[in-house]
Amino acid sequence: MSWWKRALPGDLVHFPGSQEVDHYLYTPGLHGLKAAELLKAGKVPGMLCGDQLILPPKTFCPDERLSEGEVVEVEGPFIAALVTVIHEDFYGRKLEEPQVLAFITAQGAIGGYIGVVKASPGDVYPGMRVRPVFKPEEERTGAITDIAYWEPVAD
Amino acid sequence: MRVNLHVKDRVAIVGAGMTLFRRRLLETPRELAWEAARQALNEAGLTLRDIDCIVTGTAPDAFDGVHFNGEYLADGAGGFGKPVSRVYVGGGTGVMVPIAAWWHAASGHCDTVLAVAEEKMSPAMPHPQYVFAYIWDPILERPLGPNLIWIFAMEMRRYMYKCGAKKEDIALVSVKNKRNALDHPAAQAAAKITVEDVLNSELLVWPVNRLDISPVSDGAVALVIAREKTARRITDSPVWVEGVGFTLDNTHWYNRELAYPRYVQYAARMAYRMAGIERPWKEIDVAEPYDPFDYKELHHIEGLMLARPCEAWKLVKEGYFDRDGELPTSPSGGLLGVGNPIAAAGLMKVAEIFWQLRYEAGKRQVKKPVHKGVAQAWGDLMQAGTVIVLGN
Repeated sequence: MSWWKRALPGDLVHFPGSQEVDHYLYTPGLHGLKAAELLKAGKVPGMLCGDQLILPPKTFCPDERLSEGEVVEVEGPFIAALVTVIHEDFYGRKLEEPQVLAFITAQGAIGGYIGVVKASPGDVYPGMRVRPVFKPEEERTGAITDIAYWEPVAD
Repeated sequence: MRVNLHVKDRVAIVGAGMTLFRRRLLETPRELAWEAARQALNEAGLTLRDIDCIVTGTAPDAFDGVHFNGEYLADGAGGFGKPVSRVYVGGGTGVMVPIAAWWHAASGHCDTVLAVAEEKMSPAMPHPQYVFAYIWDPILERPLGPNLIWIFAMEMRRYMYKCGAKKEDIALVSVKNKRNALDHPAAQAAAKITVEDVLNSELLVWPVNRLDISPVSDGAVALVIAREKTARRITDSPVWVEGVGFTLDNTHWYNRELAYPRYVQYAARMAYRMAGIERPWKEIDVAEPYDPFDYKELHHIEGLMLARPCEAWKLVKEGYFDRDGELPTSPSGGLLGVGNPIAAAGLMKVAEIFWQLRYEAGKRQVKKPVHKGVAQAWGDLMQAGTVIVLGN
């Protein structure tokens, strides 16, 4: 074994690589089409398996028959079940303002979505009620990012 | 090679299911797995509650564009709250999946196993072929820009030179398989074509033309596998896994005699020995050799010892491997006709042998009585061989 401490692009013995698959184009899936329609309409998508609400929708139910679920609008109420605070971004840069991130579920539902809660860290706590704030209609694309952020709901 | 023949339990396939094979399907990878798994469970008359373990197989994550693709699609395959494992040997994965499912059950560890293979190649842009750019040695091969078709072209050329086969002889395999696929409801590339159509199709890398190659595909296939006692309770017509074999040669493909796939022969010998088959050319009634290219079917027929080396191309001319021939090969239509979602393609071949041995293949049913069949897949850098022998 030996330790090769240099691996700079200008070195003689250096083997760069570049991924030739430069991007991916994912299909939405059976459930994804309906979910996209709901998001574009400013609604949160979920899935009904019998009477059980499941977030996010993914076509099949986690039951013994792998039965097909029904994609539906989830009206809430929504709850920030898990909460954390981000201080550095993906690249290790300090954020000017710490960002509150929560795992958001709906009352009676299994599962949920990750979302940014627009509030100061000290004001957000697990179990807090929140609601989605969608982008303006003309900016929506049918993606999960159509939910611009979540905001606390006053008790 | 020594094979331990003393397994705890006999194991059978009791249900199979598959999605359509298409160039680009709407379904996500986990939805493909779900559709195939649900079909297989329905065919066996079971639910997930009856399944003890899950085995999944997909080829590189780079196709689907989801790292941990096996884990990502596992819940579509019923893989939650149960022992789940994923196997991967490149193109050989599709037959390695039921082999792994077999040892899960034969060991006595699991009574029932749901085996699911999935591939969604279409997300990779600009073309899934670029994924293969990363299978080469990054220092001495990759900088030269090799392409898989280059080395397959050299292998095909070697087979032609060593065996005296002409391009028009080899093209007959593509004609046969695409014709067989006309009767497969899931087929992507079924067609009634002639040898001239193959020869006149776009020349890619001599001697490989467009119609010598299987297409890029999305799809999934699933099997339900059970130990003997349970299998007999589930169905009156279990299809027994009588032998399994698998080998891996090294990546130095240029050091091998490319006219003959010895690694396939090793895997086949292992499977035949376990199945008690001494003369496969006489005892195998129907075969699904791996056919991503038309010459590969001939190559693999010989590796599986269903024909002598360099004789498969002569027999295909005589109709020996036709659906009503002496030893039907790829009655499904194979990868050339049904499609080639890498891991799922191999398992499709096993499912076809299952349906053939149950006399449930419909219009694809071979004419002769069938008792034993073999399916085989091949993968990585022309180095992996996976073989399974089934009996009714």
